[in-house]
Amino acid sequence: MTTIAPASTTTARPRLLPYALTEFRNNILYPDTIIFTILLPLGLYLTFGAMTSYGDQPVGNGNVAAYTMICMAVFSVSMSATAIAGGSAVELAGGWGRQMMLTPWGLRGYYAVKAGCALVTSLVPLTLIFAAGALTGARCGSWTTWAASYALCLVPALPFSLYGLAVGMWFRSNQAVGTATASLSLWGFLSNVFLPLGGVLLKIAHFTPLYGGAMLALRPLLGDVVITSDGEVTEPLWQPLTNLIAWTLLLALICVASQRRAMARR
Amino acid sequence: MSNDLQPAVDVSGLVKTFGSVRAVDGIDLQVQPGEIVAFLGPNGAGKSTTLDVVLGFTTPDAGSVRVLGLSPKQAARNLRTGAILQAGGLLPDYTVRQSVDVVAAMRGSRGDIDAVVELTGITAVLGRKVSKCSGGEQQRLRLALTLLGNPDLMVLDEPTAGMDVTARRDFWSAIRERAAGDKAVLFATHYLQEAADFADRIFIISRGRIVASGSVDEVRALGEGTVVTATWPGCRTDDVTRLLAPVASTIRGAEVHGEHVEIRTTQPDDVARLLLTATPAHHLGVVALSLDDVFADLVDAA
Repeated sequence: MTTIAPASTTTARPRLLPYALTEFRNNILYPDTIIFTILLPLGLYLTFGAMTSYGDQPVGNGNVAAYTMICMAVFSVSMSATAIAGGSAVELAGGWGRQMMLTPWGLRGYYAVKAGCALVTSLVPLTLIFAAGALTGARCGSWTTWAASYALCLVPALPFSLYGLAVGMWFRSNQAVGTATASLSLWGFLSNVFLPLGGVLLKIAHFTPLYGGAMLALRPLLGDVVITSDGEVTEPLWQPLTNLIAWTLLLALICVASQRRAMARR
Repeated sequence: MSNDLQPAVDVSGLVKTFGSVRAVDGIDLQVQPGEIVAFLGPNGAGKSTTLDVVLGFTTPDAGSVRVLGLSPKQAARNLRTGAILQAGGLLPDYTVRQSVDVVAAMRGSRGDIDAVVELTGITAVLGRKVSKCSGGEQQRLRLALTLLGNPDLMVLDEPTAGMDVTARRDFWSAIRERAAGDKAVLFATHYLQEAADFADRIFIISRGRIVASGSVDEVRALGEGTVVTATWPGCRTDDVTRLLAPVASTIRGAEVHGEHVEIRTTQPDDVARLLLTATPAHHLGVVALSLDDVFADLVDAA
């Protein structure tokens, strides 16, 4: 078959950027995004990190304010990832993917736009929280620790975008995705992120989905140390890593199962 | 254009199964450039599945599909196809304007925006969120998205479901305006009247098979018989069988609604004569079989 030039009146090149910009604009102006993924973590950092009497107490390479800053950034990134991935699963279930399949970019274009937007939308609160930290006395020791912490705060986006996808694909409703996003408060509490846990709760924490990503993000600051309610405890790298990989695989499997279920229902 | 002679849609021997269900069971279907073709059938007959294959969303289990001489996926990627998909297919949180801009950018057809917006009559709702639009407004937006890039084949899956008569007429006049020339339209519907009013040709599908095809008149001619109506005071169903026994072999069905009797027959003259002479019936009428009757026959027989 010879190549046939598009026969439409079209002369312009198909472009993804206008879609990406519109998507980003709508995402960032969405009230839930502003309140829950930007203002809430930022407010929590200022309240429990910057404005506390113990904020400047040393922890690892830095201080308590930096510790709180990283925890809140992890919390915010996880919420963004859940909300955006879940929202896109609902969009696809609603037939938007078919609309995209009738464009030259196809679904690849859609995924590129969504992934790009998810990254940029997560970077906004992440950057704001880190900027607030830098301005209010958070200390990470060195620039490399600042940079490594900033980058590793994006790691929990991996399991939590799958978490959002799984919920979106299974329930196909924005309400369900909203609930999943709100559930991050629970995971934040149960993963040693909101406050240092101890005893049974700390044992449970090791098996919750945010623990691995959060503890990895804290490693540049804390090294092998984990802060618990009973003080500092040493923990080898394989523990958070195993948690992260296990949850990522499990959630990916649930996504596959949701996909099968959706196909079977057609 | 280099491929004027290629059919817009050329499907042959199409089979698609879901589990143990043969949703599409050996369909042949051709649409020529410039034609508006209706794909008519009851719900679950296999219409949407066939359209999905034509659009490249699903791959068939057997048979061949060419769209404007290309594979369905190539045709879609080259912007030769546009589609209104059944329900959904929109982003509820976007405004109408944003939806049009985004799809126009992705289809590389921003030059078409003004003309398409005007043609589909969505100028007044451009600033409105899609979720706040009425069903009819959303459908006009879907049409606008379809027309962007001026595709050569438009595939419309139940495009006017839920529209009132005026809206339906406006919708089709917009399509006709855009489809003038060598554009082809293939639309699925379960409204017989819509197929009769707007299609050049009709394919009737039932349980995954094409049971009839042709122009409206050709399809109508497939129905066997004519309907004789009469006012028959005190008529009961067994009266019809008893008193019309001499012409029983020509009768294809009879319905009694109070005093009103409808008899479907291949020999309307004989039935009329008998009704006037052997029964108290009066006010006789002889009418052609309605498309609905033909459609019901064809679908039931399948």
